[in-house]
Amino acid sequence: MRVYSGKCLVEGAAIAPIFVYRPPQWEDCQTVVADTQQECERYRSASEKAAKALQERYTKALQSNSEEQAAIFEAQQMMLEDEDFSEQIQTLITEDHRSAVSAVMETAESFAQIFLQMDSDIMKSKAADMRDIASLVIRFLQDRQLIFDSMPAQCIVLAERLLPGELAEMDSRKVLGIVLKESSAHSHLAVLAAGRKLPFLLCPDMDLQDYWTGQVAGMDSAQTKLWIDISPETAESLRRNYQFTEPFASTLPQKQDTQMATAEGFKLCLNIGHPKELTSEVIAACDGVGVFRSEFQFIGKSQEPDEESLFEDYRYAAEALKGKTLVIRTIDIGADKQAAFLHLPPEENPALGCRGIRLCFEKKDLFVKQLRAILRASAYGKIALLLPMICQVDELLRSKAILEEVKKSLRGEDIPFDENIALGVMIETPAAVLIADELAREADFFSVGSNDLTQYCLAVDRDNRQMESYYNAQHPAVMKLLKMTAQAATDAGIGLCICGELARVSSATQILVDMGYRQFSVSPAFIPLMKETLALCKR
Amino acid sequence: MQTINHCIQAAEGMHARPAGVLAKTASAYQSTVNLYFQDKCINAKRMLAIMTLGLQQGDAIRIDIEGEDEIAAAQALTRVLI
Repeated sequence: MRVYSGKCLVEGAAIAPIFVYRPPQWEDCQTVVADTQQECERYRSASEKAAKALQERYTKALQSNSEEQAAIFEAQQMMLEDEDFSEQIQTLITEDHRSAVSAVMETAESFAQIFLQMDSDIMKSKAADMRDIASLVIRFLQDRQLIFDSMPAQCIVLAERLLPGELAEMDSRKVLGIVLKESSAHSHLAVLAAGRKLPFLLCPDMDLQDYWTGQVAGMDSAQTKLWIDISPETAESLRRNYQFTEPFASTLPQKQDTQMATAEGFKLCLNIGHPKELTSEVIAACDGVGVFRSEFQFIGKSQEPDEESLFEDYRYAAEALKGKTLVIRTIDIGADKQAAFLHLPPEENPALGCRGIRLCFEKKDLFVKQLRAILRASAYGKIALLLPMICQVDELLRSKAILEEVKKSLRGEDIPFDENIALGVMIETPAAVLIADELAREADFFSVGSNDLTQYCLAVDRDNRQMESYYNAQHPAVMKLLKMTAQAATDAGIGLCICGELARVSSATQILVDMGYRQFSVSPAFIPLMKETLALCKR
Repeated sequence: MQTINHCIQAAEGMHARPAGVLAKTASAYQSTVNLYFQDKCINAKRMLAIMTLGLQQGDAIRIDIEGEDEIAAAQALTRVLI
């Protein structure tokens, strides 16, 4: 449990799963537009839709007797329709061949900067209006659903900052509270939140983490505190103080509906590190195991495990899954995971050293032993193989040759196994993405490891806490790699799964679905949340 | 040409809504409406332009109105100034 102190902007308390909101930002704004006439037309049409949306918000606010809110939207509509604003945007498009998205952003930002430099707090708050207007127009330009649509049924929204329009777009039945790093009592957002009686806390010290999404938080503006991963005792005392009724209590994890079916067209699998994680409840809730990290049998062991013990673990997991696929990733030792019995020499840069498939080639006996155990277990359930750290087609071909040798020796010993066992490749280096089309010709499926892919793409050590602010799994470069991977898999008609942390970040799910991802693999704890998220995604 | 000299009265200054009302009123007339503040001159038919002046309580402005309907425009503008 982590605790943060803050400042109360709207009174109240809540307990609910966290939804970490990051605005989408991967749109490529550098595009040079050739047909400026058409781009201007696109802008005008988006602007008209945005004006209509503001008009609707205005009417809705009036109907619910909140004149103060109505006035905000009325003023925003006037700013949107201001001729200086639209002329500046269209000049950027026609003269500089800028995309409508970047022209809108730059123009709104130039006005926002003017307002921010003024002394008056009221005028400063107009900067948020400008950004709000821009994000609304951009939303219509990109014609993409706001990621708020992927919010779970009830949640506390945590974000760096939030635009009033974004709050207006949120389903008020879903949001039980807001915690932001930046805002003020004068902001429109505070007015809107107060109008909705939505508890609102300002926590400038909160070091927002994407992985918080799905964890349960508690917030109490009277104590001006936010609890991440709230302990049952704290939750209980909060409930007692506020005499919480059902909506709050029902959002606690033990009552979450894990048995809800995965939305049609999607597959939700598990990332597991040990067969003991496969409880009957977890198995019933998932569509298979996306990644079985097989290192647990090796790490921390003083002796090398024998083939029998490997086989027993794989067979247990395969049988427990009752026909659902078990994807076993071959040992990915190296980097942050070491096995004492291998006596590997220390490396200066282990993340760039002998790890994954490289180690498998180095210690071929060990690799063969594991492949034998996996193949033998494949007679007892549906198993697929996954190779880590592939950077060259040659590495895949070499692995396939070794696999064939193992198959041949098993045949010779009359040991049954699945002749058609699927062989997949982890996509976790930029190199693998750039040759994805070639790899796709030789592999049965791709599994994207977004954590390593982010680390290797951005040259950021994911375990170095000082580098945390540089580690961004939704960096435009990473998103491009993810898109290229999906494209290559789709073109070749092979399987595709994403299994890194990003797979369970609700705010990214719709973007990944738009790219073509249909199979997500997450830790068992995130299954209920992901089911809700996927149910709200548009294919 | 009509000229209005005005001192901003409202405690909140010339923020979005009053700027919007002023621009809307000015736009209803054919006359050109220029707003002078310190060394700046802007088209008073444009709301954002008015807002960028950041007019505060006590600021003195001048509005010049020129055109066929300048008298009617001046009367209307006087009513919406805060």
